[in-house]
Amino acid sequence: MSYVEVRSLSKSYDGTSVFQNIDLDVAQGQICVLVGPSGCGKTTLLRAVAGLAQPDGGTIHIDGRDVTHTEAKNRGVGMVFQHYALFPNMTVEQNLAFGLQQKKLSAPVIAEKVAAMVQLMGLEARAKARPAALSGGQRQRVALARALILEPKLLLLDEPLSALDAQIRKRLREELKRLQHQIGFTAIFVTHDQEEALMLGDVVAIMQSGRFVQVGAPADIYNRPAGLAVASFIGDFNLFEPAQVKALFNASTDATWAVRPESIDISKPGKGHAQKDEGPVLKGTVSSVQVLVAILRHYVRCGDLLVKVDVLNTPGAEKFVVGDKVSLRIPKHAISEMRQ
Amino acid sequence: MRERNRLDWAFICLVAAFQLLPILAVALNAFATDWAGTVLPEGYTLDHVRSITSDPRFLQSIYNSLLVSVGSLILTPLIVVPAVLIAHCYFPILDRWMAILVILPFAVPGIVLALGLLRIYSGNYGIVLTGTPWVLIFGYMPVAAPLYYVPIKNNLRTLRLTELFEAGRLLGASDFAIFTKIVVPCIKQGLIIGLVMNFTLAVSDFVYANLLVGGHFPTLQIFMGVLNGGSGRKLSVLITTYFVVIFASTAIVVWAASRRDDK
Repeated sequence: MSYVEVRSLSKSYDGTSVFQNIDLDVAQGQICVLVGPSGCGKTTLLRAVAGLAQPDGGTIHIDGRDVTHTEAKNRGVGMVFQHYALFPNMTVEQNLAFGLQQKKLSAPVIAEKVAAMVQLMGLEARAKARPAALSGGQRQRVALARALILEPKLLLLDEPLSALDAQIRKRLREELKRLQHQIGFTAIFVTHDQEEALMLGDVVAIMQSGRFVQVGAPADIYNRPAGLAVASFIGDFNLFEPAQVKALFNASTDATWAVRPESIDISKPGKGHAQKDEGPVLKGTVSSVQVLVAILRHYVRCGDLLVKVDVLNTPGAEKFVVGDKVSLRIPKHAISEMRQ
Repeated sequence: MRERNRLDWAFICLVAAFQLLPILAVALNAFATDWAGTVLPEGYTLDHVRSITSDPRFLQSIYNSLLVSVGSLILTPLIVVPAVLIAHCYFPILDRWMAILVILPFAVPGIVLALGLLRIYSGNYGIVLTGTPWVLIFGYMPVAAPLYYVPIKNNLRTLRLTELFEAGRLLGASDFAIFTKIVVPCIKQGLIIGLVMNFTLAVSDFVYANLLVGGHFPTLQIFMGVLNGGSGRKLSVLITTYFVVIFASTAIVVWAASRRDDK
């Protein structure tokens, strides 16, 4: 039995099913990321695990205990909300102490735990401040600290970083990962950001229209998407329809080819390709180049099709400009065949 | 925001002076020997003050007014505030009706409301409170309800209450603990405004007091009404006292309610 075990869980609102017969397993010490477009049911699933939404059917076990009908406060779960949900009338320290006070711990114990948590989260300078005086990133750190201080069996995070700007989001992601290594909590993390999902998750569960379309390790999900739905949701893909495959590569297939932009090898015609792997070659013209920080994205026109090709943005790399005639080699191993 | 310049200050002082002038004039009149045809009184005396303070009806009326006000300040928020909070948090459908209900005392003319209260509290429904301070304490309740409802509602709207409750429950708190430790402190400002306005209403009301208790339980306003036909100087003493009581009590309410912030 896994640490968190969700079996045949169903939930509907006003006759509309949010999800049906969903199963989910999370091992102890892992972060499981639920990722999917908005409205796919991921937040409802999280709330059901938290005890904030009552499922219509199915069971939820945490650490071997059936908590399906247990009150939220007795489930031993901590939660971090998208909009922090800090108590505005209390200082950072008072926010952290609140849960411990409800457990009727003695004042010295509470003070000690709060001080340790304040230090762990690097909030010493803001310990006496109220939430209104904190930045978004600080608020979310306090919210995380408030959940962690109770040493929950399971930490639930409902899009905790999506209200923050990109820089702070990145930093908090790394901090979360560091904390997980340090404390070793088990967590379910909900997000609609694929990059966040792949970076944070030990297991990533992709949810669409109330069901899991793929559950697996981040690398597997990226490299071996289970279907077109996953492929188009996680990262970027070039999709070649069967008819286009026939026209461009003169190969017959009933599947759509999905190829990651970074696995295509681009070079000037006649120069030869670096990758030795066999694969079809395309001729085209560079129609635009975008700088995406660490990578250069080339849009190459090959007949009717615009092919995306990514190259690492290193100083010594060969540069292609708009109008350049190029040759694209698609390594065989980079082609994922997708059937609807 | 730009810094205030002299013209701004001059304007503020002008408005303040304009508002303070009648109060100041009444206060001067309370100590005037004679005041007619001159800018300032011709002389000053404490005679009117002495004659009023030696009148037993004066201290009795102040005592009565304070009794009703304090009673109203204790009972009204005790009943109205939980009703507003519970409707807002648990019964959004009732909450819509509540918004209509609380403006009724203002939509209905005072006399109609007073007569209605009189019918209810004069034994037609088994409750006899007429002639006692209770009829005023309960009579002010519907009139004071919107004075709490509007500012508290404004405070509540700025809170993400559903999330705060969920966060509190997940941290192991009961709903009662969440109300007392989080929600009430967050609506403190609205509560203070409600308390101040409730007090002012109870101390300054004449219409309800006159119709519901009249001479049985003379409040400050009723005593003023009695004096109205007589000496203008004595009335000025009374009005000045009334202003002092209002200012002092309002200051106390504001101080008491905002004290915890200083910690």
